[in-house]
Amino acid sequence: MRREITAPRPGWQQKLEQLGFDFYVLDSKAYWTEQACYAFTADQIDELEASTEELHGLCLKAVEHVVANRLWERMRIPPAWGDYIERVWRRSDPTMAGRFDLAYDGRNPPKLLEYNADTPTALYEAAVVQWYWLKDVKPDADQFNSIHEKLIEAWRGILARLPPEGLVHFARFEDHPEDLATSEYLRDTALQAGLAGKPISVAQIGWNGRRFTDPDEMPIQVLSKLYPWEWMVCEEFGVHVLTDTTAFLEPAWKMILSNKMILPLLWEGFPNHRNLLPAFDSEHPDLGRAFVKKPIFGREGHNVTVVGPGVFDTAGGNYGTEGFVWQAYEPLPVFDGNYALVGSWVIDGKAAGIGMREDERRITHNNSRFVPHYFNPTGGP
Amino acid sequence: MPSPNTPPPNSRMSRGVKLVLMGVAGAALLYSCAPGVGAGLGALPYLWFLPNPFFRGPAVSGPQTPGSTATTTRPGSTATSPGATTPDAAKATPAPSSRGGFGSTGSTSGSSSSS
Repeated sequence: MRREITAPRPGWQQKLEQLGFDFYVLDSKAYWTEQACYAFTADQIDELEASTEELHGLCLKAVEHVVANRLWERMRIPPAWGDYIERVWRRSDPTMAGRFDLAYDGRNPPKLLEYNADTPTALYEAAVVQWYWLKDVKPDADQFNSIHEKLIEAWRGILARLPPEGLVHFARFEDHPEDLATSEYLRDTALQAGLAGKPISVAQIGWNGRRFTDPDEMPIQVLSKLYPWEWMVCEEFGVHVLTDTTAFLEPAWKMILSNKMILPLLWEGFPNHRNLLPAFDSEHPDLGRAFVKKPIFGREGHNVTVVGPGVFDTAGGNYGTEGFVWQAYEPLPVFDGNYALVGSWVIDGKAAGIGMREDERRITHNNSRFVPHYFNPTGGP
Repeated sequence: MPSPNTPPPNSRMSRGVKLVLMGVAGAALLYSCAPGVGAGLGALPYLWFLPNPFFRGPAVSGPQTPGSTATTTRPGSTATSPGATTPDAAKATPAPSSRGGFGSTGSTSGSSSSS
């Protein structure tokens, strides 16, 4: 694994915009960069793929553990939601996408930092934008990226479970460009799979006393939402979800996996697993000399603190009222002064590809740069 | 071979062309304004009998609507869910929906919903 300096494609901004990727600058900073790329060996890609599948398997066992033992209080999930979560889990309500954030240096096993299982973004960049970069810049190389194909395949599976008039609504906040792009890309793949898809904003979701509805008073049967479950639970319409008249993507059982309390639970269930880091719901001697404190419900690196000998970094935010978890600190590998993070995608339960993010800080956040990657299928990079 | 297969060019091309023509934001605008996308389905009364399509409950007879020849047998269409309506209940015109019951956290948090 290495970071290569590359020349940006002539007219790269126009190329990105032609793909509909118009937020390559966020908050006046480069979000997409092609002045560099990450190169992997085929063996390293194999390891990332196998570890992703392994971790997803562990996560499913952890969900079963939470449901079977009704650990709602520990997960900070209202007990009234327990029966609903158990119901959708037992009937295998489908899942589309999730993204593991992994610390990986190319030599040691990938370590799970967290699972963005509910509202993962950077999907379009990983599935499409970096693919076109590969075709332009490294046409003879390969990329760990079957995200697009697996999304369409997953939608086809959902299509088979819907009535003939099956329609999926796609709800998101449209003033956040990354949210809009992710939701629109999901809708695009649904359309390619043969589904009908209708976009709405989160605030447009209605309740008529019996059903969730869209602005045309159509019942919402399936809602692909880019809005966190832990927020929905607390809001006015949250209680109506329990009527179970609408199917949600991601399903409510993903609430267990997007919750940082899953990290201590995984460590308890699979101690010393090669892809896990020691994690606890309080400070613990086994954390070692350096640890990361994360809010149980946190996003985009907010309110994360890294503490260790000669190491300190913290990010502000409004999360943490539900409490924190503590995880042993696994430093991200540093390339040319950049901390590099692997985002490994799980589509319909299968490892599907990666997206690389990098930042000058130890804590990766939503504006950290997306950097394309490639590997040489015949051997080294 | 554990590495991903090279995607069929045709599937990529179709997406590429569409996005080139419209752009993501343009596509959003186009689809949100398109009356053909799902429009009018809400006027079909039997839609109100369809439960959560992933619900697997006891099979019951679905309601007949004028012009229909048979109850549908697709998954999810012949079951009732805890919130499904009854035929009598469905005769009543649904009340206008209230809105804004989702989104308050996101609109006040100052950050996106993404992770």
